[in-house]
Amino acid sequence: MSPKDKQLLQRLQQEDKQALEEVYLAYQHDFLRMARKNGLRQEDALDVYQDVVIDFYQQLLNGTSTINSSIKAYLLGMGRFKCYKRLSQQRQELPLAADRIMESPADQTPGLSDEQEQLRIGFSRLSPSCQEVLRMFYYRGLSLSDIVEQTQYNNTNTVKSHKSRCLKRLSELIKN
Amino acid sequence: MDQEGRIRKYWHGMLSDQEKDALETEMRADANLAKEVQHFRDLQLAIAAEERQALKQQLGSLPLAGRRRRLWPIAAAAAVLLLLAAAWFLQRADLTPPEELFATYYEPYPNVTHPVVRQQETADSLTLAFAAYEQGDYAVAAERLEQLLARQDDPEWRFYLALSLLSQGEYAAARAQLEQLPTANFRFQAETLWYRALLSLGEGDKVTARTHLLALRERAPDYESAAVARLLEETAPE
Repeated sequence: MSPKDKQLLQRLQQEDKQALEEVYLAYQHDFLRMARKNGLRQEDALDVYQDVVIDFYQQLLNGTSTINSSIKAYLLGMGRFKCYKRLSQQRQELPLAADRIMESPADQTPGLSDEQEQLRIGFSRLSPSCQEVLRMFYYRGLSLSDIVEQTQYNNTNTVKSHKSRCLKRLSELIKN
Repeated sequence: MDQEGRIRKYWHGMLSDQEKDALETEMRADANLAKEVQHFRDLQLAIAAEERQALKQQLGSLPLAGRRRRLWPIAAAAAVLLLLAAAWFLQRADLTPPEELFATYYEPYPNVTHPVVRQQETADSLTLAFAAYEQGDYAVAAERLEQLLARQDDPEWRFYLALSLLSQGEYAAARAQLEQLPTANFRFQAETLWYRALLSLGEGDKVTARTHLLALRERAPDYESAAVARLLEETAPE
């Protein structure tokens, strides 16, 4: 892996959104060219590319992915398959996709169960400070002491009690 | 380590195999713990989905990246090459590109090895692996199957590991797994040849794909016979 990629990965792992935009723009042209070669329309190719970059970023943040190749190879590798799947769905108009649409309420986020969707809506209504502490613990997998290091909380007990209050508030929002 | 810390590490891949086994054993015996573990996962996925929407909006608002180099000299050279190749392409115009054949025919094989019972409160590693596979969460399925295979070799688990990798477009890794599968006395022998042929098509290698298709037709003439016949036509040498 090149030093530039290593540096970008480090920045991404620190949630540097500027780094995310740099990655997105750096390989966009190559990705779109590859997608176009495979017969995907520009707007679909962009949509697939955004999904691929977000998957990559989220896997990095929650620690479920390790990258041994270059960022470009990783994105194009993941993207290649997703392009084929998108094309395949468009050509065949897969009945499975249609079934899924019928089963889900109009506004439901694809891939989430009802309970998860309720949590998502409740989470979006929480205060920014609650969202932040829950994001750090549940989404990024940071420990309480990691959270103290990266924020202005005084100690782990403060984080813990704030997190408990936020979970209680989330639970109330879901019940209402 | 407190219970919540263990659960956090469990879902973020930070527990050792031993610690993970211990937690899964406890989950089987303690429904409340299993519920707590599931709740963590639900919240994790809910936040990830919310985050995803914001990221999608952020990336969608960026302008298209410009071309990084002047392409007209390359385009001129390509035009000459295209003219030279035109006759050849005209002859082969009725054939479909191999990558497109892969996209048309590839579907992950259904889980028939370890059926997952919905709504069960506790789940072991194998069930979690196959649940992830059934849900199309192939990265998680591959990771869990790799961990299981490190402890015990099972050709059927390896078959699903290969498909989890193939479904993520990781062709080389998928091929490495398929090549390790037994060539005799194996329930998925025909399926293995079928997916090896599709994998080769995905890589743009019609010659190898054809070799696997011919072997499949010889060993299991009834397996996907119409599709095999069509693909043999598409991969026929000039």
